[in-house]
Amino acid sequence: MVSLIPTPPLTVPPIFLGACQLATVDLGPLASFTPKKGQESALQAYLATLDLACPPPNHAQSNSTQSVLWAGAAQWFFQGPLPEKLMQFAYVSDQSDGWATLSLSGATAPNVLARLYPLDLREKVFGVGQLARAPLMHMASLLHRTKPREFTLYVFRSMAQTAWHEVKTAMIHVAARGRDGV
Amino acid sequence: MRLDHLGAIDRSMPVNFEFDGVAYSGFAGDTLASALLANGVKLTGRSFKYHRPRGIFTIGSAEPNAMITLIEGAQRTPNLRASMIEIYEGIRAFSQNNWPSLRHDVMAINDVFSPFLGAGFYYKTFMWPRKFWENIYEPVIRRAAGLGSLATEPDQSVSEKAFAHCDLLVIGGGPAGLLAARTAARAGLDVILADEDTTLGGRLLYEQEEIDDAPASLWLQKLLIELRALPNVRLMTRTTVTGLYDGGTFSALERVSLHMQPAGDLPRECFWRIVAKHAILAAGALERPIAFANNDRPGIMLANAVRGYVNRFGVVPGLKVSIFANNDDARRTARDLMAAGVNVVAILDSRADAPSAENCPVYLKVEILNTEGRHGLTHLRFRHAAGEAYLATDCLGLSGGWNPSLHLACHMNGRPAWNDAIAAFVPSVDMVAGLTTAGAAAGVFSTLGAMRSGQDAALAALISLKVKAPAKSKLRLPDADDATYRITPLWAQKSDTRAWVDLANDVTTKDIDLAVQEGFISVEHMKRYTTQGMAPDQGKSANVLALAYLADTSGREIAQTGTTTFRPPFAPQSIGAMGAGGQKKGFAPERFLTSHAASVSLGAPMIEAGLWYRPSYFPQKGETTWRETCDREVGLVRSAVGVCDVSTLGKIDIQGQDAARFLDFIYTNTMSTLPEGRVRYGIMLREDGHVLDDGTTAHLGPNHYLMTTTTSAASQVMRHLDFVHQAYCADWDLSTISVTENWAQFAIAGPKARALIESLSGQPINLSFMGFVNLQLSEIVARVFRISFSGEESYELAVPARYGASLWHKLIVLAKTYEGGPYGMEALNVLRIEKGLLTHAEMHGRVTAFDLGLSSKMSSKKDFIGRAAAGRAGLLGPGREELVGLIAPVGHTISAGAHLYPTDKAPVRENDQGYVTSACYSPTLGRYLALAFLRDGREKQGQEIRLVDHLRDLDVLCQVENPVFYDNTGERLRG
Repeated sequence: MVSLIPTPPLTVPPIFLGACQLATVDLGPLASFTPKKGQESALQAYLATLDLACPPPNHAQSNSTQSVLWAGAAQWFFQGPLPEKLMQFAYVSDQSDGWATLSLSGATAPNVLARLYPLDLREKVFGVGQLARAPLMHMASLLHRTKPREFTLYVFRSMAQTAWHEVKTAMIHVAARGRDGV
Repeated sequence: MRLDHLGAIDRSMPVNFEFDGVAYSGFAGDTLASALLANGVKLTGRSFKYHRPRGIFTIGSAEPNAMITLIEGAQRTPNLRASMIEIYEGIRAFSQNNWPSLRHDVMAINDVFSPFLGAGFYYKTFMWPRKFWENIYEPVIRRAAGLGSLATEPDQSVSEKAFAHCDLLVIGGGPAGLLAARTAARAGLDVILADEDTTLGGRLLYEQEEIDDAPASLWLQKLLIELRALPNVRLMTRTTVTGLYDGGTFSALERVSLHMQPAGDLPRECFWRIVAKHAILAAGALERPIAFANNDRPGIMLANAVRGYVNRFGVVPGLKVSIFANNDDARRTARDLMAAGVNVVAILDSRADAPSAENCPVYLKVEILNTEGRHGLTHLRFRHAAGEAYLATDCLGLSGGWNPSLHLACHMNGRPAWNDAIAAFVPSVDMVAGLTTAGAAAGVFSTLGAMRSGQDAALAALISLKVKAPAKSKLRLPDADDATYRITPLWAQKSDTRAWVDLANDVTTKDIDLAVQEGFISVEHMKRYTTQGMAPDQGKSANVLALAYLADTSGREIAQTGTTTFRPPFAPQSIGAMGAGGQKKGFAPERFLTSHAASVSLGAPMIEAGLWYRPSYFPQKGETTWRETCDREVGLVRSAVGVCDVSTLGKIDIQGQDAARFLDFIYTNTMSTLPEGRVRYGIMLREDGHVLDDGTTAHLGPNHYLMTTTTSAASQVMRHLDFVHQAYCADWDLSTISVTENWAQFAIAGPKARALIESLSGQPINLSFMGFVNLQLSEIVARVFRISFSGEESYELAVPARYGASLWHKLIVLAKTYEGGPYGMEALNVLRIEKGLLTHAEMHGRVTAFDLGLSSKMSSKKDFIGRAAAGRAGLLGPGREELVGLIAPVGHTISAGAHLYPTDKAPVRENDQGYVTSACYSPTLGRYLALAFLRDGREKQGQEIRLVDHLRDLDVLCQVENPVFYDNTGERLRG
């Protein structure tokens, strides 16, 4: 009987540059889901029992171990251990292996992201718990602000190396400006 | 010449530089222009067409004459303006457009032939004799034309691109912009203040001004301290806002490390895209000249530049300075210079009623007759109210008035309005939604006026953004100059010799006269016929003068004549900055398979297909050509077992009660009858009836399907499904999402494929052709599809991508035990051609199902996307180019891209019958095969056709056959 060894999307040590840190992060199981027609309120009721909900566009909703991330038209990502009854109310598709997740944090993280995403990332516009489906350079991506100075970046697994390289290059350029790194 | 006591340069930091190979020195804070003038260098270039000696004309970014090539290490950049280059230790600057030297330029002969080189001369010459064009005229013109030359090595510099968002963008950091920014910042708005200079201040850096009874610099420093301390203010110096676009979006070019000592990882430039809810254009104004005889000599400069070099850099551009103007503002030049101890020999005023009491001679009603001094001004000859005079002067400060810098406000194709009071164009009201103009850019020229204007613009912006204005105490304006702007328009003075309008492109009043004479009286025609305004300076100091002269000459009002179209960029923008990060591998993301590292370590050369890197072939020891390896790999698959990573094919997860119905709508054939555990091949069309893609769809479970697509069409098909779902099936019970990345998938093909899989999983597998089953591999649920792209018994095994690398390794090892091994893209292609299977080489976007011989797959029982359009006359029936197979005689090579001709006609375009889409050497059949489209091909099977590749010199008689060359009955497939 065969035994297969898992490999993460990217194996690189974290980078510290200027006032910023980039690291790979494993957020565990990930699945997409779309509510079954007519089951939308039942779904919301079920999620409420877990202290969760289907958030509106550009938002995430979390409890202590799981998160629901808005991911598109009638589509959400469920992050964390998948609740058994979800499949009753929604069509679920595993995404655990399809994405690479990076964590960018630090005082100059928004300046670094300004080189990568065409988004208004001022905290009053894009605050903690908000997210966007937006391109990281030319790559389909999800950007989630998890803390005031911490962001999670999702890219396709196959593009993890390119994403790492682009973020690192932006960090280098921001760090080179010193002080505020504008 | 350098003055000791004036200027904001740092005299404690001398800087050594070179110009045209000669060593000079200046100070930190100097531009190349100020440093050259300080060293008495007046000659800085040769004019574009006539190669006339030219000097520095302006101070700032509108310079038309002093175009410089800069060499910094390996970097060579032409067409830089000397007034914008900040000098630093060791830079080497070169003049342009001269040979062999600036002082002795052979091409100055053009000046002698100027009567033959007027506007549009090239439309009337170089036509005879015809054959001279290609061999003589064109090469000579090519060598003579152009400005500056490029390096031949690739650009090594690194720039970056970035986005910025704010509530208010203030363009220009002079008095108007500073007050606008201050007002908005005090109200709490997020403000970006951008200025193209190295420091903020605008005119305050160039003029002797007092604010609140103290030198303006004190007031400026205090304000900058306040602005720098505010967290909601971003000050961007060395940043030119270059374009205004829809939705409050602006482009800007920031010189980060450009023209500075090289500094580690700092990018050279940053190309910004700034989005602002509101913007204030406070870009100031540019002075304009007057046209008169020989008004282009080195030493003739704009009046504000003469005093600017004195005030800001402590540099005197001449020892006997004169002024010629039609307005009061130019008098400041005389007064500032005299206060600095410079010899001002005369003020020449074109007006009869101008003030005449100054501390130097003043002449009124002046008409300049001529100038002298080829390599530098020496004399003026002029007529005045009381006679004629001949004046010795080596520097003339020239002013015909000021033009508000309203370019950005016109970038959305708006036109400015003519204002008679200031004899200038001003922005029209509401030219651009969300943009206000303030200060000199709006025609408000005094310093106090500009400040008030800037503050008012900010207050208006606050109202439109519904934000409370700061308290009245925070809105007090300081005391500042509020002089009235007095001007009497003057565009040109009559002259038989040439009088320059556009210095950069050598356009004179004679050229505009000629344009009018020949009927090119529209300002857009005059521009293109004379090339006025088409130089790198975009006519900043010439456009208004030219159109005013055109108006006069053609008997119209200026307002009637109008301006040409303003287009971004406002100033030259390097392509390297706009394309930052996009060179070489940065051009597109790289996509890597889970088996990538292993393939590379096996020595497989990688090719790029739809951004993915895929192994081409796996060379073994002793194999010397790719063909050898490819032939072996084909044999491997046909006789033993081959393993190939096919993860790149698109995989789309489709669920829902309406999933089957949706598939019936997308595919031409019926999917809803497909039982669970089965796979079906299907084709899908675009709305216009042409084939979009083909693939297989598997019925995985209740209301659950998995669609596959071609690698390069994966995102296209996903977009197509999204569109159809949202536009046509919005209320269906349906969920679709890409899972291409989630699964690593491997083809295991050949007579020993089944044995290999059973070996891997430790259990028997009994799956019929086009079947699907879940397979337990330890704790992992894998998916097995019995489908084939090779024509052999073949399975595709999919596991979650995290196990891909590990599985690939195991498959390779196992395959060896069956005398098999990995195979790459070359072999994959040969195998599928032998079976007549299609890729996007055949489904290239212009073929229909009919062309492919797949009409039987078009269900007549249901509607589907593209059904109606596919039935249009002309898309089916006789005359269509139909898919056929071609077999070449043994020993002959045929190629993709070759065209097909009847055997009895000449192989020319008129006799073209079709073309080859895919070709390969088939080791299985021992000859070349091809797939092609041939007019009425299906009825020509068994006949001969002539295949000609004109590029590769191939001419072969081929046999037209059924495209399935190998195992026509499919025995090996279904075994």
